Amino acid sequence: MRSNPLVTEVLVGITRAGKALLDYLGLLVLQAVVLFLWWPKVGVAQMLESQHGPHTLAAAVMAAGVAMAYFALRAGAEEVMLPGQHGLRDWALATPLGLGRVLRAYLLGQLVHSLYLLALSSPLLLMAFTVSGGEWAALAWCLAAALIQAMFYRLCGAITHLTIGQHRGESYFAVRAILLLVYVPVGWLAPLTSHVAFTSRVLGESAATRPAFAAVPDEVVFLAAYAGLSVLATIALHRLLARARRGMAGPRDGAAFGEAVTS
Amino acid sequence: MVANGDMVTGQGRGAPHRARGLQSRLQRLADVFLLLALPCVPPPTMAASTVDIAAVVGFTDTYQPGRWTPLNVTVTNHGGDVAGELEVQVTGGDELRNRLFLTFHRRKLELHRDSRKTLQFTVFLQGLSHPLVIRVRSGERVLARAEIDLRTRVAAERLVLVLSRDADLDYLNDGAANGLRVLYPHPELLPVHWRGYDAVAAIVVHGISLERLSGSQFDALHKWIAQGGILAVSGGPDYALLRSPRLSALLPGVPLGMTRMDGSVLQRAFSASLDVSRPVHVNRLGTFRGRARLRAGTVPLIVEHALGLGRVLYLTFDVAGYPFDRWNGMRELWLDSLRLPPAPKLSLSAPEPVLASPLMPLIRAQTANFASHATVFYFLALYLGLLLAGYGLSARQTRRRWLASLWSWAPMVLFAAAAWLLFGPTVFPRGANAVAAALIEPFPDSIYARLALDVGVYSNRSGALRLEYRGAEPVLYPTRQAQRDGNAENWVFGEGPQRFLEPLDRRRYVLHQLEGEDVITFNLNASVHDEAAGLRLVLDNASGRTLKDLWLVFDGYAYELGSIEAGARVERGFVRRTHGLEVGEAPWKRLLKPPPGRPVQTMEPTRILLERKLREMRESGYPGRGHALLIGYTENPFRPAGASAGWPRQEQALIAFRVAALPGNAAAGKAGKGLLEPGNVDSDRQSPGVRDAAAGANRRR
Repeated sequence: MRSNPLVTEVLVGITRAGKALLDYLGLLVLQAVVLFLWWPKVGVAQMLESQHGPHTLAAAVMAAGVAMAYFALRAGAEEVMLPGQHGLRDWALATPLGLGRVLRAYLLGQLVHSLYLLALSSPLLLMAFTVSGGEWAALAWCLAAALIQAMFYRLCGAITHLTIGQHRGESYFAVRAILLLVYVPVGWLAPLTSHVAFTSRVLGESAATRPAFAAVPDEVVFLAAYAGLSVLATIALHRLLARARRGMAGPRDGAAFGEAVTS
Repeated sequence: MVANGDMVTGQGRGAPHRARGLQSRLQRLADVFLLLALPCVPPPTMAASTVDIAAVVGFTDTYQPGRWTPLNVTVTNHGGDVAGELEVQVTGGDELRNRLFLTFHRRKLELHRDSRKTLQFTVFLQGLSHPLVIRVRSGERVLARAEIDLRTRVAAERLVLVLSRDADLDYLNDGAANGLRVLYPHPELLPVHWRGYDAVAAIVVHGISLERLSGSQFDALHKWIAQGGILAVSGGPDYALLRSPRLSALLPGVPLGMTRMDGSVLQRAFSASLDVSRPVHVNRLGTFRGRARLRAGTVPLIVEHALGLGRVLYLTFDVAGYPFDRWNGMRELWLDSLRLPPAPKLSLSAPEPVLASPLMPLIRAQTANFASHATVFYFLALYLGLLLAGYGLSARQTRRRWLASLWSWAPMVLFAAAAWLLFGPTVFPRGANAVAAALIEPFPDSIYARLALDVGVYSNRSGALRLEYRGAEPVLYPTRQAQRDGNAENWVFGEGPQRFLEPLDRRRYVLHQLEGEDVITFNLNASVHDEAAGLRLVLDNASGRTLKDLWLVFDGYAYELGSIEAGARVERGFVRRTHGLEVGEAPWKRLLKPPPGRPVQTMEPTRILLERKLREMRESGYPGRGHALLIGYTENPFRPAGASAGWPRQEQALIAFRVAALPGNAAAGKAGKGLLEPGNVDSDRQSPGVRDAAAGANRRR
């Protein structure tokens, strides 16, 4: 993994302070606020009287999912970059690396970065987990769903960046529009593809009353849907990059960077 | 070439033919093998047909709705070995409002080829419109299923059970409201749990030995008498049966032989209408406990002995023999002797108000709570602050790159571990919890006590909640409050050697509650003497448990006793002004202090338990005039066991022993034991007519 320069960039980048970390710290504060607000306000006895457990874990996981998706979208659109990290266009156009290899490494790098963000949220998630009574398996499903969802949004961000280019204003609005449009209406209309609905189903109180045969499909459907969407987005990204590469006579911009990498 | 070619062609034609022939032979062989193999693997439907289910509801297939009743299920296996479960499904609840709930009673079942097994359940049959469903399961597979129609097995009257080979007490049958119905059950099918006698008003034993009963059946009978049941034993020529260990333990006295009675003497004792033309032999008694309710001269004819809250009557004559088998006065004699109390209200549907459950206050007092918001805030602030500090350190581009790398990972690793330690299972245990509040009321002159239970299970994570328990074998039912509100849950009750209970609702943070009752062995004997100098208490704690923070309440005063160790015998005198703490009628309930190391809130469940008792006894008061009350704590007899032994639990058990205060020195040295008196003491020489009036007056009192 470390032999791949895109992944190495991510591994080195996350140990350095930069705007990316500061941005995610902001999102982490938001997650902490959510955790604080959803922390049980009454005692165990009152919870038992109301017959409703705390929703702290579901809220924390939803917040982490949204934060990771938003951050991945922005990272894909290259609004935030890790220190020393180069853009996808640079890797595709300025280096002789195969597009397949570049994209594989790009996805792997995104996964590593998402895992790091998840690790940053882990104390919050663990706190919520202890009081909410969720199961490890259910939590793992939710986090896996957040990771694959972030992957999809990263690719969406990258496509936005490749299609809109360096127009900061358009890119800024497009990124937020995608998040709002895909996160809210799609989740509303097709709850099976909504991370919020998914978390609510898997970690909510109805999880215990769901029939056993329905337990697996729910989780699988979500992961499969986002994996499928990610594949489609990757194909689209590949075509965009290929077209961009074909449009280039040679590695003009960033030639030095390409040489440095290939050497 | 042609010939060759033909030959080749011929070979070409013949080879497929041979091959096809071989193939068809192989196919036929395979079919034969398949047919031979088929019987070796019986399909599920065939396996199911080899198990038969037969059931007897109540006594001789007769039960009273709204009462606990025994259910004997016989499973016959005509096929191979069966290892599975026998399940009885009972539908309860309010049918009119369609608020039904299910209870499943399960027992393990192992049946060898061509064998039969009878298992008994104690079930609460609330109505009759829903059949009982009985299943034999092996894993998920149902091997046999039977539906028992309850409509044809109903009796509205209270039951009188006659255990006899030849006695005919059908004259006691009375179809009127609150009437009686006489049944003659087989002794082997008697209940194994005392609650199975719920619909029974009295039991008559005639000419059989109780040694025929199993240990659990005899215990059930003994407990039923102790909690208020009435047993009448008829004498007869075969008096050796009455000298058998079990009967002699219950009877007021042991027969020493037979004595001859003249007809005229018997007529004076019973009635002139008794047709006695020749002498009659009755059992001869030596000393006996209790009192003689009827005598003929010096010969006791009916002797009665209190056993706990119940009574045992010994009729020294043969109730089914000459001349009593043809006497018209037998019905009145029975009713007069048995003095059946009015039928109690139906166990679960009684309309009295129900107080809140003591479980919630118990949980509130004893359960670890969530970390406070302040703790959460400081923790989050520290974590985010540390991350920010790490960011600042890295941003300064320090030469120590390794320190920056460390800062990027260290806070999250440290705080993840800290989050688990500070908020995790060590301070807030995850998983199932058991809650139990118990009220133990020892019966006077008995080794038994009534146990009223409130049991709850809950979990802070989703999943099955199966509580295995020991120490008591209560009958359990959804709380009366839940039944009235129409939100009673569905439950599974496991009977047999390892008892368990399991709600079918698997949601987390839901308290699943049950009420239960049992009669347990709790040998506590006490006598209180109201003497001129003050009170004198004799207490013999043979219960095997330490009694903590014990108080004696009598006549508006409370006296502190402290702890009484198991096995201790205490005799103490109290002077009202010196030792007594003046309390009113009700405030004595505040006397109890929380057990050592427990917060004051733990008193709330105790208050609820006593308040319930007070409401139950509202007519006579609690403890009532002329009665003293011993109240204190002890360990809860209902304990999680087996796989649930490690469950965190919140529990409390309160003892409330109501003792009749004896005036002066009337029973000095007596600590609750029945008096052993010579046969000529405390006899009731009144005629049946006078006795009727006296009995009526007693009832009115």
